[in-house]
Amino acid sequence: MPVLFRIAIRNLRQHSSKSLIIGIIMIVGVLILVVGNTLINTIDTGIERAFIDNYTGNVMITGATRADISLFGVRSPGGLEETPTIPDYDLIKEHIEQMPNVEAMTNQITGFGIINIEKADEDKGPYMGLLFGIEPEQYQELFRNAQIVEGQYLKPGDEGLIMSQTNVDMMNEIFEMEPAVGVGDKILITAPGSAGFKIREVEIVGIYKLKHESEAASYISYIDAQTLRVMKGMNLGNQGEVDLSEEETSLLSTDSFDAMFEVDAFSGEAELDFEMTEDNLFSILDLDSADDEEAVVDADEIFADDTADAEAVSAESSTWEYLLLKTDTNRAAARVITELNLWFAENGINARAQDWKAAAGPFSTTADVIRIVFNVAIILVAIVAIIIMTNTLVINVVERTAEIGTMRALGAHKGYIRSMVTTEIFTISVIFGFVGMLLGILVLYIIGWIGFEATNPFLEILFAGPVLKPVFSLFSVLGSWLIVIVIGMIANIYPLRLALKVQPIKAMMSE
Amino acid sequence: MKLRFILTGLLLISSVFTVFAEPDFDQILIEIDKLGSFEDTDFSCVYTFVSEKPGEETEVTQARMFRRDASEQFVMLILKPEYQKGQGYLKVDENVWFYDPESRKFTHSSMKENVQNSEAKNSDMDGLSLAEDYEVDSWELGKLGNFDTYILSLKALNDEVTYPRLKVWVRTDATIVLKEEDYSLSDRLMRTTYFPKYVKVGMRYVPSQILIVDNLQEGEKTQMTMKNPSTADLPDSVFSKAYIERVNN
Repeated sequence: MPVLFRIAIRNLRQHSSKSLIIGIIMIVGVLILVVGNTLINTIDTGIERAFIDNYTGNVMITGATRADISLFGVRSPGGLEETPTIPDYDLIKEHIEQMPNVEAMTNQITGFGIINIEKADEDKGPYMGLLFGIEPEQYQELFRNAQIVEGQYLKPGDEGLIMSQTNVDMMNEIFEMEPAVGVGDKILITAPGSAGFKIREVEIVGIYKLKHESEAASYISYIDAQTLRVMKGMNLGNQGEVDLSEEETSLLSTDSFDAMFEVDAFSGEAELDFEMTEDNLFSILDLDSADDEEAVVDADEIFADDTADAEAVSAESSTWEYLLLKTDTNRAAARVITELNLWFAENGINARAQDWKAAAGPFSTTADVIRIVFNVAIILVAIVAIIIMTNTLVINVVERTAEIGTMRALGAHKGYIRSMVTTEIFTISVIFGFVGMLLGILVLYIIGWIGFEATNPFLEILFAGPVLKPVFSLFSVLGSWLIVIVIGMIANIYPLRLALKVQPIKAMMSE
Repeated sequence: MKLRFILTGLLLISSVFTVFAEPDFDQILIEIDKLGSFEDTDFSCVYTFVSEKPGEETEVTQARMFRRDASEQFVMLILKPEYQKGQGYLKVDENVWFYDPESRKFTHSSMKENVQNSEAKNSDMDGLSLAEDYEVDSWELGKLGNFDTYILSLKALNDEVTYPRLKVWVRTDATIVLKEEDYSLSDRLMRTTYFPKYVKVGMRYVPSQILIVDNLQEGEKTQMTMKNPSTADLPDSVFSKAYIERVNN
């Protein structure tokens, strides 16, 4: 082996110009890989940090759903499905509290609301807002990125809303209110839920700014969970029985829609039995029984039902759609997720644990898109490098036909020739790859030293902060070196085959 | 002989033209609107919505509706379920408001919104204005159950309608709609509505049983049933925010 290595070094020196060409290609290749991989690591870290620290946490627990679920709801082909509440919430919470890798946990409910301002001009607004119903103390403990710039954070038990500065600016742009809407002002939120639409007037108690931006985070408004629960119609308890006649449900059981049209559609003349008078003008909600003595009884029953509902609400104020966990390290998240999902399965709990990407839903795709684009670029660079290196190596072999032929004539086996050529390219790859790696690290230090500033929120996410500080990974730096060695070996396949085909007699004749 | 031949030929040609002559669909749309709109009287009734969704309990909503089609006014008050009782919609001209008695607040709404969690839209209970809002794009003859129908493909003339494209099955012997398919702009079938039963209210025919099938969410459907129809005059004050607030006091 040392003999082969010495011959390889001698050959490389003899064909120094070609060795240099291949070496430079390898240096550039490693340089691109080291710098690119490190930057993509930086972007990954930035995106991860922005999402995990802003609103997803490391682990999201939800009720099991057929379609994909994120913190923005359940996505299905027909639109958004109702988000399930977490089953066996207390049991799950108790179990998580005993998990060693879980540092903090908080609950959440998500809702969408039409935001309006009562005094605004009718032709202004409204717009759709994103609402996270939270328990303020717990939530703030887990997500510390939101810094209050005006007013205060929500307090436990208080009703109210905190909005981002971006959101408040957007609202003022839409409604053009004079003076501008701010802390202490009330806004109207109309939210759809299982109880139809509900309107709530909610006070803005604080305005926040995020330390690190991330997609969608600035559009989140935090509201006390109980207000959002009421708007979404959660905890409604018993809805009350409604007596239905056969006529009112007969079509629902129809198997064949065409069969509905076998008889004539006209069912006769309606009895016009209702007339609005001064007496019934304002008791119209109870009209069916307005003249009936039983109406009083009905009113009592309604009151009784209301009490039952009120009890149901207070008893189930622990109804949540999401449980978000922060693990002691980001790596521990995968283990916690696996453990939780196994525990859910073992205990027959219809819940699911997922990572921050699932929690961020459509907004986590930025990292994936950037990674795919970069990987495609690397593949293209690798293909070009292989072609150029193969060409150079082929020329090298052709020029050395006589030399290889003579070696074969003197008794060198094909295996020896194979080892010699492979050692040559391996030596080039290792030496120049190492140089490329050092140059890559130098370039990254220069980038870090210059400190490029993020000029917009998107760049701030990508830079993992306000200034670009490359995040080194020994694994990715060494990996880049290895990739270039492999590329060199692949480029060597065809020239090697040519070298092995050299016939000693023909080679010597050509000389 | 020649004259008889020519006359017979003319008769044949005219009969062929009669058979294949395109009906006046603009007039048919006007007739449908007339039949479903109360331009000379007020109209009120109670609707019951029974909604079925796979894996969920059946939901029932009852609402009392008041219409004054001549001035495009509309009030709907939720009677049941109890936790929504008193919620109301008010439409005056093009403006629609929604009222929530718990917060005692009104907010802007739209006739395109669903009635609570059902497949029915607020616009389903308003007077018809097919002739004003749509034009006939194409037509064909078809059969629905035992009835011969014109199947009209309609294209919206404005963007205020709930659906930009409709397909309606209209009986050939009476200008009533038996079935309606609602399409999105990309021609995706959104929902199908069946009108198997009509009842005569005064001089008009109103569907008394309606089945709405959601074509996007399989298995989701709503039956609307109309009761207590009336064409008696309503006080002007009914079509106001103040009325909805007073009703809830």
